[in-house]
Formats: sequence, structure tokens, C-alpha cells
Amino acid sequence: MKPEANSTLGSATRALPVLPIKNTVLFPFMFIPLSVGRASSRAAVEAAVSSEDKMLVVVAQRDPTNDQPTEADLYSVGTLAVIKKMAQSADSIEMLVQGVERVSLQKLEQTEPYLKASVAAVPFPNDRGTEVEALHRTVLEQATKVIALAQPEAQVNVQQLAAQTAGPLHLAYLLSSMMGMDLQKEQALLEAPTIEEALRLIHNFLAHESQVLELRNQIAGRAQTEIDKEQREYMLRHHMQAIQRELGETNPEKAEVELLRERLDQAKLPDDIRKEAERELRRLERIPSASPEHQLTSTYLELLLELPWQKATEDRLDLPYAKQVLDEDHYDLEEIKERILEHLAVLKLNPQAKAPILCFIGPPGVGKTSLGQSIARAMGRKFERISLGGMHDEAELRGHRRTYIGAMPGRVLQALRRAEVNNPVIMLDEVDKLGHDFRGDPAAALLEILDPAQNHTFRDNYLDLPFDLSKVFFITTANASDTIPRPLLDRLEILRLSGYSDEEKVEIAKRYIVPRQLQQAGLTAEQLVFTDATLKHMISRYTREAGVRLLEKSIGRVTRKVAVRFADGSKEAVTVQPADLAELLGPERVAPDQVRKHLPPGVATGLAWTEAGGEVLYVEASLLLGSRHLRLTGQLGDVMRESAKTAQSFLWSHAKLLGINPKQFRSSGLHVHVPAGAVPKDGPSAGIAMITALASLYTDTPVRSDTAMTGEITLTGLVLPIGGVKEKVLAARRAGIRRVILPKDNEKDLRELPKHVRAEMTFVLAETIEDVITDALPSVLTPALV
Amino acid sequence: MSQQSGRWMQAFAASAISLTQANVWQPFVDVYRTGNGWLIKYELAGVRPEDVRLSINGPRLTLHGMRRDSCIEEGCCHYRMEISYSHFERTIELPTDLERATLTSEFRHGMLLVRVEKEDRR
Repeated sequence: MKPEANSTLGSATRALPVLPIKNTVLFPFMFIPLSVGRASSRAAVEAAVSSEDKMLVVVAQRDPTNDQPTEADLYSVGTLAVIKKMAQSADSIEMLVQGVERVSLQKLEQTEPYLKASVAAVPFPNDRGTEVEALHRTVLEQATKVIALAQPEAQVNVQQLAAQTAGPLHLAYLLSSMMGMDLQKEQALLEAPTIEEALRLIHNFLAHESQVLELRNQIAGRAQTEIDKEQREYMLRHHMQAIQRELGETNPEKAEVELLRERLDQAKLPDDIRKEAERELRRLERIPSASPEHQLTSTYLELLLELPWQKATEDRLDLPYAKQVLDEDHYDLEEIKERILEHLAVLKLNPQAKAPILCFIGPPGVGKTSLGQSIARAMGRKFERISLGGMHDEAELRGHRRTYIGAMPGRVLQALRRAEVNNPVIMLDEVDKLGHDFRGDPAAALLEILDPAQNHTFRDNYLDLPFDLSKVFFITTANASDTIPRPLLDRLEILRLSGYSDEEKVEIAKRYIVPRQLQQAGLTAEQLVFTDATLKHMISRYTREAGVRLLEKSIGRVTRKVAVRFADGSKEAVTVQPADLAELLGPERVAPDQVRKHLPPGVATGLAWTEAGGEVLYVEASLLLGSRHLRLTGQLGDVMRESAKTAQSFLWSHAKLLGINPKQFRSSGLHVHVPAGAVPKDGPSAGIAMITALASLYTDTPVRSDTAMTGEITLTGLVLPIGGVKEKVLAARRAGIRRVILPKDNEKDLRELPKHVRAEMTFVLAETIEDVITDALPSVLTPALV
Repeated sequence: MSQQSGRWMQAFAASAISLTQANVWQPFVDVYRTGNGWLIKYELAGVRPEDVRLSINGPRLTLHGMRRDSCIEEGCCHYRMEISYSHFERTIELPTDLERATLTSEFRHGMLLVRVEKEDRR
């Protein structure tokens, strides 16, 4: 039977009820269940079933939302249909219709009570050819694929289905109804003028559909793979455990616990610590290894086992040997060496003696850190160093409690763990550069660590067990003592390492630095010789420091330059002369201190102490007629400003004695300046220099230019002692000044000076301001003052 | 592709199997084997005997006809319609040459009975 060949209507035109439908198209041969609610549609259906052959025309409407479609709202091609079954209910008609053939709407006969139009058959196309055949087959394949992709479980055999269709057109209608194309495409298919066109439409649709479906399956497949992978891993782990059990291998967690237990048995622990460790170990056994607790506990146990609870090195209490070691490593520093030998002696007599806590204070580069190392060497102890510079969190020293993620023991315990003994020398560097913030003050933790009375039960937050630190030899270092917290300073035994004089530096260079640098450069002592004059020149013109760090760098540069010559093949031994230094080190870096040969009235020579050594400075004063202010410049700190005011006040109150007209104080202001203006200065020690400068100004008498002075003043005219005498005297000497006025109370400090320096210099020891003025301004003093 | 179209697919697959020209319906049929031939019973209630026509073509027996909806009159309308009306057609094939058989038919209780008797081999 060939549907293409038949036509129910034939060439006649018939008037039939029209049923507009939404969203879909009824194709010939296809069944479609319809539900009719609209009054006009119900009327059309009723009219159709009341006719003999139960036919009507089903037409798709262009706009599915329109409830009163007119002729313009309907497509012009519809489908002649037979109502197969129908049933009415109160508000709708359910029916099953089957398409018969396509028809075109010719003329609308009536619109009330239902649409009725005269229609004419649009005969089925009947084109044949290889094109159609090819398309037909392609569509079959595509349909098989799409159905397999979309509904793998539906088991529809497209080939079988196709065999039962009445031709390619019928197949196209069938597939279109099955797949649910959109309305425009369905309508286009219905109206297709040729079979080829119809097949092409369905072909394009299927191609698109199969792409979308493949993509969808890919996405769904990816999600599936991920789940599968996890499941697989889980299964494999289970298998692995089963295999391990079969082979008699215990699981790794167990092995770890066993290992720790073995170590615990072998470790020498005090009883209470052992008890604690065993408790932790039992806990560890119960915690599954996947839990973060497990890692935490095992790390803790490891620390417990590694800490040197009872392990100690034996002290080498051999005094001559210790002295030899200390002398080998450091020049001079007699006081410190003595102190260390004392301690060794005490230890020899009383092994239980508590170690002192030393604090080396001195400018950079004087050998504080290396001194710590030689102390350790001299005593035969291990050496550990903790830098406190910039530390601002108490927990760094004392540790974090174990509840915190990533908690660690403090630096002190870490150092002990590294040292592996409980009596190392621990050097706490830069104790004056501790910071502190809201997280706490590390200095407070240091108090406990450094107090011999309580550090035998030091409790680290992480360890949470007492650890005995009393055997540890603590050494702290600092550049200045004034920034060390007071309570901390009290616990320390202060040893000051002041700067070295040029002569000492020459000795240090000859004994330690030059041999070390030669060795590093791979040269022998014969190949390169530094004369004393050369070293001295290098010290005075290329470095300016209290220590020897720059000197060592300069010597290093020279040795490397010379090493280049030897490496190039030179065989000639080199002796470096002062004149060679310009070539080797470049132009001189430091100009000798400018000594002012003649001082105008109002200028006095002072001495200052800096972390890098001593300095010569000048106090300049001048009168400001008409003003009454005291002006202070030169970056002076509060203490220094106050001593300037004190000086002025003293002179004012003692004007008569000095022969100064008191009116001067009221009629003119005063300006005091201390160069160099860019360097901040503070401290009381310029007091006598200030008062001398002012006395010189008011009396219009110049100060002795060969004399430098330092000392604090009081309003009643006393001269108080100051610090840094050695550095200041050395600075004065470096500048070529040979007379220095010092407070009487500083006389004891002169012992620190090397003998030859003491011999060279003249010291004037002042008790009162009168003593100073008598010396510096001999001509101004009225007999009454004396 | 929506679920709806999945359901539809089944419906269309079923319809495609019983495919004939869309505007004719097929009456149900029972075929019996008898002592010397076949008895074919068509369910044709409400069909007037003069509207029925039988034709044979080799082994094929085809029944044409139509059931008129005799209740149609002015002002009366279907409330429910399950019975198929209008033209019907049904072709069955029998493993025998119908040209050389004797066919008799009768209407009984709304059923059309067609008796096929093989001719005696003399």
C-alpha cells in the first residue's frame, strides 16, 4: 500500500471543522491523543463526530498562547484527521485522532460556533532517486544512534520500525513525532514539497540531537569516572590491608608505635618523664593514623625522646688548657678571660655550682659571638646560638601549647634538642634588640630561662613538663645595656667589651685576621706580608669602627687582589706598604678627625660615645641679641637639651663669680648647636662641654683648643661620672688631642686603657664645674671663685 | 529528548505495526480450523449486510465495508465514542487456495461468519 499514491479527498474540496492545536503538528498516519477544552474546539469536535466519517482538520497555531486563533494565526497547511475514539467530560473532550493526509486551508467558511474551512488535499510528494535513498539510509543510522544515546534502555529497533513504515516520508513523520522537534521544524516537515526536503530536515535535526546527547553523556560520564576512582582507591586500600594481614605484616601504624616503644625503652629518661611518655604512647595506639591527632602525638613523643634529659658532656676542667684556648682565639679581653677561668675553677671544686649568666656588651665586631664559641671550646662543651634580634613573640622562646595546629617547642628546647646534651653553651644574641607586642613580651620569658633560681624547672608550653636548664651556660650579647629590660639586666653578669685602640687592632690583625685571611685566599705567610705601618694606615684611613669587622673585610680584599696575581703566575712575594693601599683598596675612606686648631669664644671640644666607638664633637654657642629664647639645634635629645638649660642656669646664677654681666642673660637669647647636624645625639655627658662653651661665650674668652672634655653637670656645680671612658679617650687620641678633662669619679675607668695610651695622655680630673673652668678657661676665673 | 516523547515512541511503534491506510478501521477477527476448512468470525455489530463486500485474491481474503453511525440526527451528539465507524477493511491470509474453495457467509448476532470449505478432491 502506498500512501503517497492515495488521497482520501482526491481532487475535491471539502468543508470540514478545523481544530487548532498548540505546540505540535499532527502528521499523516500518526496517532495523537488530544485534549480539547476551548468551547469553539469542542464544537468543532462535536461536529466532526456527528458526521458520518468523523473527520476534521487539525492545524497548528503559530502562537500557542492565543486562545482565540483566527485564520491568520493558523498555518495554512494542516492535516486531515479521523477521530478514532473520544470521551467527553464536564470541561473537556479527550480523544485519539489519527492523521490521514495533509491538506491546505482554502477558505474559511465559518468562525462561529466553530471554525470551518474548505480544504484541498496536498498530495504526498513522490520524488525518488539516489539522493533520497542515501538520505533515507543516513537518517536510519542517525536515528539508531540517537535513540541508543537518548534511551539506551528503550530497546527500540529502528531498522524493524523502518521496515514497517510505508516509505521514507512515513519514516520522517514517525521519527519527528518520536523525537519531539520544535513546532517550526515540524510544520516545515509537514509542508515539505519533496521527500528529499523532508529527509533533509529530519537529518539536520538528528545530527544536532546526536551532538547534544553525546556531550550530555560525556558530562555525565566524567562525573561518574570521578566517583569510580574514589571507590577504586578505597577498595584497593582494603585489599592491601587484607594482603598485609595474610602476609603477617602488621600495619604501618602499629610499626610506628612499636618503633617508638623500642626507642622509649632504650632512652634514659627520668621516671616521671617516662611515665608521661608511656601514657602518650598508649594514647597514640588508640588514635587512627588518619586523624591529625596521630601526627601531633607522635611528633610530641619524638621530641620527648630526643631531648637530652640526662645526657651531658663532661666539662674539661683544665685551667691552663682553657687559658690557652681563650688566648688563641682572642687578643686581650683580660677581664672576661679571667671571669671564665674563675668559673671553671669553681666548677672544679664544686661540680654542682650554678653556671653564671654572662652578658657581653660592646660595639659590633669586637668579638662577642666568637668569644662565646671559644668559651664553649675551652670548657669542652657544645655551642648553640639563638638570635633574639627582632623576636617579639613570647611563644618563640617558650613554645606554643600543643592544642594549636603547627605547635612547636620554643627556641631554647630546640637548641637543646640540636645540642643533644643538657649542658651546652647557649648564646642568646642581641638581647637588647628584643621586640614585644600584644602577643607577649619575650623578655618576660627570658627572665625565667635566665634565672638560676628557677630555671631548673623550666616549663615549655609545648613540652608541658619541667626541664632542667640549670646546667646550661647561658651567654647573652648586646650592643648597649640601656635597652635591656631592667629586671633582665639584674640577672645578668655584665662584661663590657669596649672598642679596641688602633694599636690593639694592629695586634689583632697580625695575630688573627691576617693569618685567617691568608688561609682563606690560599696564600702562605711568605707570599704576602703586611707591615705594621700598613695595618695602621689601613685602620686609621680605611676603617672607623670600634671592632675589627671592616678591618677584616679590607684585609680580605687585599689578600684576594694579591691572590689574583699569584694565580696569574706571579712568583714574587708581596709586601704591602702603606702607599700600595690606594691601589689595592681605592682612595682613603676616612679623613682624620678635623681638630680645630683655634677655637673662637663660645666653642668647646666634647667627647661622645656611640655604639661604634667614641667621637670628638664640638659644642658651639652664640648670642642672639634682642631675643630671649634658648635655641638648641643639632638633633639633640631631651637629656642633652636639659643639660644645655642647666648649664645656662648655672652660669646665670654664678654670673658674678665669672665676671659676667647678668643683664646679658636678659638682653640676649642663646643658640647652642652641636654638629654634625644630621646625627642624633643624646645623653648627659656633654654637660661640661656645654657649660665651658657658654662660659667662653659670655666672657668672650676662647677655650683651650688642646683639651677635650666629658662629664655630667648638676645645677649646684658638681661633675658627675659618665660611661664609655675608654672609647672617648681613644677617640680624642685619634683626633690628636692629648688632654682630656674627666669627672673625678671616672678615674677608675682609666685602668682599662692600654698602658701606652695612659702614658701619652694628660688627664684632668674634675669634681666641680670650677675645676673644669679653671682648666679650660684659666683667665676668666675671679679669685673669689677659687 | 523529553520523557513524553519516550512514551510516545511506544505508542507509535504499536501503531506502526498495524499500519494501514489511516482512514479505515479494522474489525476484530477470529479464525477457526474446522474438519475440512476454516471458519472466520468477524465482529461486525451494527453493520448492515448490504454494506459488506468480500473479495478473494489467491490465499488472501479481504473484507470491505462500512459501519454507519445510525444514531446521527439533528441535536444529538456523541458524549463518548469508542466504536469505530465509517469504512473498514480487513485482509487475512489462509494457507489454502481460496479460488478453489467454497465460501458461504451469514450474519448471526452481530457477527459475520464466513465458512471456507475446500473442494473435494475427486
